[in-house]
Amino acid sequence: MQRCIACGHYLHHPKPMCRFCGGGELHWEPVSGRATLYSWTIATRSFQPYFGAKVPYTIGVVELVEQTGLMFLTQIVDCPEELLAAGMDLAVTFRALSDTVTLPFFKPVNTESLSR
Amino acid sequence: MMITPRRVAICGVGYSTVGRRLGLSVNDLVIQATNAALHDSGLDRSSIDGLCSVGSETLDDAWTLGIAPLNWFHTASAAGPAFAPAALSAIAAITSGFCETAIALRIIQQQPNSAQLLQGGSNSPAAARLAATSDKRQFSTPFGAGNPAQFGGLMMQRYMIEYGTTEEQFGAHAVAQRSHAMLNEDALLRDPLSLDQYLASPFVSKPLRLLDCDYPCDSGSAVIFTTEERARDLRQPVVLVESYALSAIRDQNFEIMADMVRTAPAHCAANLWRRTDLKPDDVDTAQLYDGFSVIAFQWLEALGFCGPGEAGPFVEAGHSRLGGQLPLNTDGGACNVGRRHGANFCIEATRQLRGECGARQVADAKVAAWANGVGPFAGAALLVRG
Repeated sequence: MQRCIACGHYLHHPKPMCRFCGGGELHWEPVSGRATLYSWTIATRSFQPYFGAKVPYTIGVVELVEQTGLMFLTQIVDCPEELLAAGMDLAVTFRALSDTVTLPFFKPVNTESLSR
Repeated sequence: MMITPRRVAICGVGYSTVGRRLGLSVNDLVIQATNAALHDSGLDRSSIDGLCSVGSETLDDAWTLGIAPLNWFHTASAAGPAFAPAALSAIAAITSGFCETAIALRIIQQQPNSAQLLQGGSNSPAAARLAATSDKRQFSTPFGAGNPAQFGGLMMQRYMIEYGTTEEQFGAHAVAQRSHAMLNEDALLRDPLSLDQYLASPFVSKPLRLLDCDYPCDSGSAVIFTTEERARDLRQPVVLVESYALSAIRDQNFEIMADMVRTAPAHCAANLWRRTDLKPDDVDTAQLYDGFSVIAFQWLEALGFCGPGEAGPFVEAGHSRLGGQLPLNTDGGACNVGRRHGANFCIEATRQLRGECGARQVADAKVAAWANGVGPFAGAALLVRG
């Protein structure tokens, strides 16, 4: 995640200037990969060739624990639709889609609760 | 010399031929819509000295139409609240004395559908778009997201989470709008629609259904604004702009808004009411953007026609139907008249205040609200019978 050195706010999407304090010194910092689920939608129709064979899949908007309102668009994986719930705890899972593309998806933290 | 702010009126409205993949060029749509609005107003092209468009290049349009000299012109970005930036900036230009009589246009050519986008696999238009993807889309496209309907699904899901709104309540909205479209000869979708048919319609991005989406088409829409004084000399009943507001809020990316339920319409509505003595109870009919049905719900609440989370029950109780307490989207909305991208709401509000809506006329309509946009940006106006 991009972070402002002057005020400490994280920025996503990354920008050349901090929108919180106007600072111009920004750097990259690892974050915990923990988040909560804000909203989701089940993609039932594809608008790109790659995703044609992938539907249905779950697009999610998650709020990273590092900062209130720090939202990240992703896919939610390893979670059946009926168990999706607002506020559920999620953890990042990096998935290699090809030799050159790896994406940060999110999955439920409490996998035990999913098998119930 | 001081310029005194002037009251602005709508004196002409009109559409091009509207339909699915008509093969009409942008020029065709501009010419047809402009001529329709000029005919409606009784004005000649030589009376126009201001021009603004979303969806075409304003100066190209002026040269095509032979409208010169212009005292004011502006091409507004399509990355904004639909027709509102064109209409509201035209109002502002006349208010300030920049120009006397301005046309605002919204020109739309139907986008390729998903099958057409995907045709040709790695050589498809979709793949070409992906290759050209840069900037903010790099954070959505790789996740299989970024289509507006998918944002609509995210927004609708969050709205349902916060307010417990049911799919039957969204269905009631689709059914009510269709019942209005059935009374509008200009609507593209006019077959009766039942709640069961709504519930059986396919998901595009669950919980968003096909019947929650505006109906893609080619369309050209034109509205002519002028001073109140000049409008009084013209042939149509005078419709006045009471107040107007244009808003953009901080989050410019739909998918990562920290609050998807209270977005730019809330900010816009607060400004709109601050600029008038009228109250929500004074409004006789509302024409509210319905690119997705949840957007109309958000506007109903933002404008204070019902409380937060009450739009679903409000619509389900029949209040948004003709004869109800606030007839909503009386032309059928963009879900049924086709994607005229906000302009239809301004035009229908005008026609209601003129009293020319026939079977779908709201009795004695004196005040109408119209609104465009959602999420990062919004625009709205209150119109009154002059």
